Amino acid sequence: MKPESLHALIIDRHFGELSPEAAEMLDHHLSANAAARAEAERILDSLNVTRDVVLRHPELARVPVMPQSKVLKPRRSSVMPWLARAAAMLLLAAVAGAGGFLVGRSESPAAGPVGNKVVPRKESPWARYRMSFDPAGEGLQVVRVDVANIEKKSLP
Amino acid sequence: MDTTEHPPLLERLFTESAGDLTRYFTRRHGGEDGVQDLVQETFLEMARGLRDGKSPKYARGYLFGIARHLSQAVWSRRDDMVVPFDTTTTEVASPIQDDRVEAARETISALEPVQREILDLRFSQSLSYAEIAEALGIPIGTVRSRLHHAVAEVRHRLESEINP
Repeated sequence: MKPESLHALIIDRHFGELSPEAAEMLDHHLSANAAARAEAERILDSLNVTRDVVLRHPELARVPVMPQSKVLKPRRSSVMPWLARAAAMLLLAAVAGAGGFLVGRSESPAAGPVGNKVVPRKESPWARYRMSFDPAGEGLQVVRVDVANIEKKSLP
Repeated sequence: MDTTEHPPLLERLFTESAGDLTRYFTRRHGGEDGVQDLVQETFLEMARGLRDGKSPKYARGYLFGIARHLSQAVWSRRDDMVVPFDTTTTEVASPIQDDRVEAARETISALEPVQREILDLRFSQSLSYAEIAEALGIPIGTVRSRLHHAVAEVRHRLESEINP
């Protein structure tokens, strides 16, 4: 019999947790094996010391109680923080855009479309357009800013 | 509260276990006046559980499980974390040399809290493995293995004291 098995069987029998059949087999083994008997004595001695210590020191059973403030809260799913961050970034971008639009609107001069200043660029076969605010209050304009031709087209 | 549905079980448990519960709370909280209140609260919780349909397989283990929760609740409320020495405990059978007891105490104090609770419930309350499992909400196999491990640790320590 393995020492670990004997250890478990001796303790279980001491606590009355061994079936009668298993207890009988254990007794038979111990009666036929002096070394096992000596080992059983040592196990029981350890058991008795353990019992004495437990009974003398009830504070050992004290389970540390974690303060409420230190109780670990279950971690939330990692998806939600990213969604929250993405929503916050979108909101920030929208606020910044709206703010910029309002500032630009309030600072625009009364006459002439804003931002349709012709910027000379390198020759290109493609037409260039720029969005600008219509001072007449009709909304945004798409202004062609080609060097050669400048044509305006109001958005519907 | 109506507890008339389960008077036999509650009465039997009260008769059998009220003294054990008193000793359990006294060991953990000293001889305070509140110990009897804790015992009564434990049985009230048991009655509520039965009323709500709980049918514990091991009623005594379930009862000690309630007592354990109440005890922990008391500790969490109190600033005074000192547990007094239990002068009422006279169960120590054989006088064992103090150096061996001290070595074993050090070993046991280093065990996991649940292991120490298992030892306490086994030695001071004589709960069976199944009842301890019910009280602590862990499998019986865990109770058995932790108990075996604890005794093995103590034995190893005692032997190393003799043959360093």
